Amino acid sequence: MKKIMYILFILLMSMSVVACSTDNSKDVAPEEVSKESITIEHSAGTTVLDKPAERVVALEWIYGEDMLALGVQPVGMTDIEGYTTWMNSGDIKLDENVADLGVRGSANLEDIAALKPDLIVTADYYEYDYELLSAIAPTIVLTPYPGEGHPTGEYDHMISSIELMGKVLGLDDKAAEVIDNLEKAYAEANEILKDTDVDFDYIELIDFSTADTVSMYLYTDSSIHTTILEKIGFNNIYKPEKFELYGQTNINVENLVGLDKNTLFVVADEGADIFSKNLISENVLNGLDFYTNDKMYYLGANASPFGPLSTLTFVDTVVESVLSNE
Amino acid sequence: MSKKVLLGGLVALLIFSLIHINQGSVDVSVSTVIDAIFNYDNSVEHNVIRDLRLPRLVIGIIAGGALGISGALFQSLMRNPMASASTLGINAGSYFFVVLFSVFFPGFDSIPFFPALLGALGTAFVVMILGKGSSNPVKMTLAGVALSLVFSSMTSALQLLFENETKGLFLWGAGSLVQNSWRGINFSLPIVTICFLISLFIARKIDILELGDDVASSLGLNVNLFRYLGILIGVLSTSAIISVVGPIGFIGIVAPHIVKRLGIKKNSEILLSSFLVGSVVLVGADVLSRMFTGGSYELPVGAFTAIIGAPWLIYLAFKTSKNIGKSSYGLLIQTGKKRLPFISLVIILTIVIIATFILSLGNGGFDFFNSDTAEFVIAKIRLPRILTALLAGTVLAISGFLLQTVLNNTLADPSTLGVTPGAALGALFAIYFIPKTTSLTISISAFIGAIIASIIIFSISRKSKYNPTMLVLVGMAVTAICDAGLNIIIINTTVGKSASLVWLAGSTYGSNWNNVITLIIGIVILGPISWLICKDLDAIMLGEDVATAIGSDVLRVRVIASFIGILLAAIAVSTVGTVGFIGLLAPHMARFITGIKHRKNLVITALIGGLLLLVADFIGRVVIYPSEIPSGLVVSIMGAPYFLWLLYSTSKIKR
Repeated sequence: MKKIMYILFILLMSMSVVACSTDNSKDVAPEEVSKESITIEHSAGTTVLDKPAERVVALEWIYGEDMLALGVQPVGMTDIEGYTTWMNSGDIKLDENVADLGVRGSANLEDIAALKPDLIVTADYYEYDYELLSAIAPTIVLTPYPGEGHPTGEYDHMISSIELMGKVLGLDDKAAEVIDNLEKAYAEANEILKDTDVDFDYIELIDFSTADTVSMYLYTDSSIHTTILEKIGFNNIYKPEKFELYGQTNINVENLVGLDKNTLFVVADEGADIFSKNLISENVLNGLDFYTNDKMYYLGANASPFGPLSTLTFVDTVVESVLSNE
Repeated sequence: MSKKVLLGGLVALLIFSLIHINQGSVDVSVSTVIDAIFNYDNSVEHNVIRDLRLPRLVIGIIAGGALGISGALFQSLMRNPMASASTLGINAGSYFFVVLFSVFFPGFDSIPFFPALLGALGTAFVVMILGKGSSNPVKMTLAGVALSLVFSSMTSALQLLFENETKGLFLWGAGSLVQNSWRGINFSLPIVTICFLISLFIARKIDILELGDDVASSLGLNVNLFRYLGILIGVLSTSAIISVVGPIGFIGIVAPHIVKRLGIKKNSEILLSSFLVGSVVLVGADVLSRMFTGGSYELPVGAFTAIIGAPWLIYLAFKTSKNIGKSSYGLLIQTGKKRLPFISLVIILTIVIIATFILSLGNGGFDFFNSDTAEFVIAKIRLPRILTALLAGTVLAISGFLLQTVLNNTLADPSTLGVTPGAALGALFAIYFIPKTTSLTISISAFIGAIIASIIIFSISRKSKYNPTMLVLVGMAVTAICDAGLNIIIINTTVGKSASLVWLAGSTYGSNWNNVITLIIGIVILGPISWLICKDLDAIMLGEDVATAIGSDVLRVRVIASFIGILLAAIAVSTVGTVGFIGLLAPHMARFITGIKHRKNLVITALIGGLLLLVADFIGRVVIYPSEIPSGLVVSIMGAPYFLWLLYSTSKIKR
């Protein structure tokens, strides 16, 4: 019997050795740096490209969108159907021959390898095996939600991802132009909105409710929604009690009381949202100021800004819905 | 006695209600609450109290009460002290049907009572059929737990494949009392009231029924009529509640037991007090859940009832296990009539595995034989993945085999014991709370979770000398607590939810050579030990007394075999996530074709387990290419029908 215990002990030890030995994630060795080479520091290490990338695989939508804004098509992207449904990137579309790599977070690794990309870009909340991806092609891992201590982290990530994609594609100037266009769009929107009598204090709500269950989230200050809206002159009055990494708080109807005196943006289609489903008591609804005084603006279920293109659409949608309500 | 209980219950309910109605993000004074009820002036505060808080309180009272009554009814009519909507699988069944309904009939604007009822009735019916053959309550409970497992894996399959359609159902699915109008109450109150009245009306008949069927018949009672009527009432009121507040567990277990502990014996009084105690517990749990959040966001109350109720179940199992004592529910074995010789079986299985292996290696996804990346794909992606599937299946099967034998229980498996849920909680903890998680830290965290869960399970059941029943019940309770933790974590995050769901469902996706090495080490070291202790397991099968007489140290063998079983399960979970069913199915199939010799069984079990996951991996990869169905879900969907048939066929055997 002692023998068995002994063997078990050895097993435990050997397993911990295996566990430890895999822990030394190798950074890409700094090779001979040629003149053209591009060095990128990112959350999984440092990646060096000899020349600008041409065949890029985007494992998160935003990086594909960055590329579209820069005028380049990725060779492969995840969940293209979902992208076209949920991300409104306007007239610039993905080519039909961009390979669909399956669900975000579990992209088809074999298909990625078959595309023979020269760069893979992904986000750190997906649990990809960095070494495996790096074996297929140089891989860059970015951090879309940098966490507490980065008050506008989500937005900053978008800007830095545009710069980064510009750098790896050798399109730095184009990237600067894209960012410039964003600033211009904010300034324009600001100008137009100034002349309206919209209430600039606002809250923004995303609605996942079904026919019988209420499920809604308010955007917090660290969300990209909030940063953009504040750039065009709005002021988010919702301050949650705890920090939300993903910039949204799950709330109930009562939480809206006290936040109802100003503008409400609803990320949902008008008529298919929680306020039109007979789920909330009439009396309570009529007690909500934005409901009775028509200060609600429907942005559509696919309004969320993600990359630069959907951000432009988002800004346009906000302006349009404010104007049409005048 | 019962008057004191009722009075105490009412006082407690009153106190909780007062706290409850004062909780929320809007500050209101007690006098405003009173004004809102008696002196209503259509102000915002008054409307919040009248139309949001009051409905939430009232639905809490109704739901807690209804769950309490249905628990009391199930327990006396099924003669099963552990029966309740959650332990019988009714909650899971009902939830599955509602999710199914909202996926395929999204525009249907009404409270999903009928899908909930359909699921609840169906599950109750199946559990009753499965539990009929034996008078042992544990068996019925286990069937319920197994059914829950089937339903919840099918539910998560739906959630994965229809992420957007089911997104809004997460909070409801974990049980939540949030009400936004009187709609839910207007709907459920009449049904619950009628059920309550009928149950009180037949309470005296139930008193007679409890004397035993024979006695009751001889007293002129229509036994079947009242039994099925009572159960129907329980199912009806449960479904009415589920369709409004979602599946809320454990109230149905806790309430009637508190009542019985207080010494109440007559069924009419048990029912009345169960209603009251159920309300007190549920409203109390909601008060607790909102204390955590300060009312500024929502946590599912169902998670809190589980955290309150699960320790109660453990206590209950502890009490019950003393009475069950040696009459442990042994292995019920279904064996085929014709048997092939062992060696030819091994050869056939090996050939099938090799053939499947080659098929799987060559197909699925893109046609890489014509591609110059073929070598890379084989060496780095597909081969390690297929090997992981094969080996993890083997490991899970051996784990299930050991646990089943040791516990003398055909329904034992890492997932029913709570080992896998512990691992899942560990992994999710790492995903959400450790910044910059890698797959390695997740694996380690999963491993730690499995070990902690097992230590809890085993140290609590140590006093009962690892009584099989005790172990499984404690496992059930630990599972509930882990699930509660999982729900709280998932509800509070929105991005990357589906990534965790994939992991929770169990997947061979992205397996690398490290997984293969871990699994091989596990098999190489633990496999032979398992082989060695098979002899002692044979002896234990003959009964503890016999085993002791021929010189086996029963306790020690049990401890070692369980330890190896858990270790294997943890290894499997840390590589492929929470793949269920293989540990249940493979040993059954092996027994079916080889009989009960443990060493032969071990080999065949291992081969079948490997084959099962290998096939599941292949199917999952091919069906919705370029996306994939997690292999854990494929296993559940393939395994569920076989498993139900198995439960049914063993239910007909009487020992």
